[in-house]
Amino acid sequence: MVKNNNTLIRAINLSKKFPGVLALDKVNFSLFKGEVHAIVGENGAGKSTFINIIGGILQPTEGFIEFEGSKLYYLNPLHARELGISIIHQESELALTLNVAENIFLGKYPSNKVGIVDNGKMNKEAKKILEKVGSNIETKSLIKNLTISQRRLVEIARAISTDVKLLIMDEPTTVFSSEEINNLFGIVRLLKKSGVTIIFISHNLNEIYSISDRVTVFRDGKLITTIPTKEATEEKLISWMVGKDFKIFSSSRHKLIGKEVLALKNIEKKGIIKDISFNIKEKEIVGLAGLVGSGRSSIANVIFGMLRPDSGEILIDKNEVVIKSPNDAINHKIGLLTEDRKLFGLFLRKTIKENISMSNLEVFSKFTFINNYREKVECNKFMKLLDIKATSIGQIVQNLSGGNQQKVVFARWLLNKPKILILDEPTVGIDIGAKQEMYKLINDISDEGCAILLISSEIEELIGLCHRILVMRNGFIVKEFLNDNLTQEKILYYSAGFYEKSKSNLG
Amino acid sequence: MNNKTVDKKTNKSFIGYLKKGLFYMWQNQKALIALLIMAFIFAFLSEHFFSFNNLMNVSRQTSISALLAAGMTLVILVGDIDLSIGANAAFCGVVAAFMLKHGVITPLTFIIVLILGMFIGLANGVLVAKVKVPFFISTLAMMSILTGAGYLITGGYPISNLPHAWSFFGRGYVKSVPVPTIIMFLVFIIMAIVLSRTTFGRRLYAVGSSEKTSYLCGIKTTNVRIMAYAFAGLLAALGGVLLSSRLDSGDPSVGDTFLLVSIAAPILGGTKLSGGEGTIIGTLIGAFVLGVINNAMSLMNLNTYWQDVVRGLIVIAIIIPQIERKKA
Repeated sequence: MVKNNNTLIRAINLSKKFPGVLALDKVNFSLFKGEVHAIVGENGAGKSTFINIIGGILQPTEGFIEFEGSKLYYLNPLHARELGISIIHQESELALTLNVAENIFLGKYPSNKVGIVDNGKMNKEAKKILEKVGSNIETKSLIKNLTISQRRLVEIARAISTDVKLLIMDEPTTVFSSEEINNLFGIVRLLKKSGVTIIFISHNLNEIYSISDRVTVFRDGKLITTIPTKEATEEKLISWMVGKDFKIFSSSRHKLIGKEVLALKNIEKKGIIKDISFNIKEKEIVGLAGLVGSGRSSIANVIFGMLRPDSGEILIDKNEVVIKSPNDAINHKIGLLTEDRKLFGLFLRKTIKENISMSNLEVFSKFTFINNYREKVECNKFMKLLDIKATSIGQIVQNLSGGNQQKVVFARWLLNKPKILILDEPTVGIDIGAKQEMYKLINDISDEGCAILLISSEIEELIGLCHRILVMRNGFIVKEFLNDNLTQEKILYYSAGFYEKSKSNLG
Repeated sequence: MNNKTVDKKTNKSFIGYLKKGLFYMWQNQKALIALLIMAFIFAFLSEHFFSFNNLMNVSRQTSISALLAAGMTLVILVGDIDLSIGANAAFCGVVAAFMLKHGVITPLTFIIVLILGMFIGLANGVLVAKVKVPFFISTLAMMSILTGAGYLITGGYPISNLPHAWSFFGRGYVKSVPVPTIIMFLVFIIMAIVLSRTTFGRRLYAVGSSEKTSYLCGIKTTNVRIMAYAFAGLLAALGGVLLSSRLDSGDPSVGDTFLLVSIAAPILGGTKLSGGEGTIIGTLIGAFVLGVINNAMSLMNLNTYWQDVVRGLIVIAIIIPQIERKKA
């Protein structure tokens, strides 16, 4: 094995607390010089938090980082870059209106003494770097005119344009075709040969086998294990990722379900989702599993009128309906709990009362005049019912914990007496205790007769709550499971695309 | 993360309440504090300041800018600024004068001008909310259009010597209270009710605080924005009526002076430029702060050009503490 002086980075007892969540829990990690190190784990396992600490973007709550044997007390992004740490994030971070060369040299344009940028030199240098990553993109074309995968290559070029020692790639392949992935792996091997250490985050186990030397598994903020990739079988990796100890949240799963409430028929939106057909019945909870970007949220957006499908139909109570806007959806008694509750779900600086009543003002008003008393009574009722922990309904939502904020959004939709409720990652960023409450709530709403579509990256959540689970991949529903003796492995087998490689059963 | 340390000691003494009250005022009502301090100083400087006549005078002078500021408050609450509000008022005054000169009776002129102002606001709203022209450009262009159109109607000379009946709005009295003062208070009472008690008011705040969330709550955000502009236009027209009545003329050039105060008053009164937060009472207080400053400068016989300079400086000075700075 490799000795300590070959260690590039060590993380010692690294913890990161966000309000209400422990995102990283005492992580000890070491990275060898010149290796390609894969990090795997489900969404929310702590991978991104971990690399953001290494990149100096987040500060650890506890613990510290050692770089080439010396302890780093305070790391910021600039400092990290000086050390030679470069991160390529999941989300593109390019200046759209600048050209390729300008983006590669952003902040460090080659210039003469007076400060005038040497465009010729910049374009020549940029071309050289792009050749290194096997791309012949015109250096003068604007980023906004490039495809997503071309942009990714420009980002890689930018990352290696400086003297880089450690390159971190956060799910770099999600936007790539298989050919482009092979090209990327070529680049990774090339970089490795020239002595660059690489951290490679991916959901796709196939990729990890073909590129990495060692692999580390994260789950629930904890580092589960680090082993040489050769020694890690698929079964082992998956079971480490999902954990053995999952529990069933409800026993009411076997209750009687009623008549069909919502049906989608052959819904298609070019480039996003294809041939989507399924239905949900009264008192039924249908789960949507799949990786980020597989099209799960797009289905929610179609049902809620935020995305108009190119073709296909939506039926509510067996009648075809046209939903052009959230307003239409709400009139059809549909509710949507969005994934990003801070950006789309809440009026952060408004009170609990205002947040709850906003989509249902008519309930309390006559000739547009709001009856404050009735509004108060109704909101107080929901505050009690959902056990929202706050001093009063006059409290500003911003100051509540994630779980209580989510309850406020729930209360808003419950006020509308929904027939169909779409829950997009309802427990993301919520601590364990509040999660349990959320699960109970979802079950209760379902018992009342509401048809529920549950989108979640936490597979155990889906297995614990749903009657049926649809698995999505690349915009298609690739598998429908009845929730009967279902394991996380079976779902992951489809969502991560193993079935494409081999048809053998993992179960 | 301890982003909020709540003082758990509840000090129940009178001084405790006073402290709490003063702290609340300092946080939320800086304009009111400024107004009180200024009133205090002026009371010492001039014995006339607190006389009934001078107070009525201040409120009359403040009324027009207060009406425009009320309209601007609606637009700022949805997160925009309507730069054409002063020009709208001036243009409506010109049209009123033109109609009166051509024999249209006072009540009809009054109503038509209000509708005209509202439609100008509506046009602004449609451009911003539906056509998606940035508000800065579209309302600036509207300002130019209205000013130009005003000059086209008047031919460059103000239309003066309006019928006597028209003078009621700007110079009339009801039991020694000026009519503009009465109109202003009525408008602010109605606005306060609309903003706090109606669904439209609620939605206005919602759109200003998060347009995306509002849309997902089923609010027709485009319509709400258009209505904010339309109401602002209506109030601008009302301001224009008072203005033309007080000056006894329709003059397209008088709009400029009101732009600064109409934006400064709401912000001074605690309305956030980012939208979604603010009260109409705050705007009224803000307008009075600026009104008192004007009054004081007139009492001191300050040269009008200097008044412009001083007004600008004071607005900057008062607004600086209102700005919420983002922590890095």
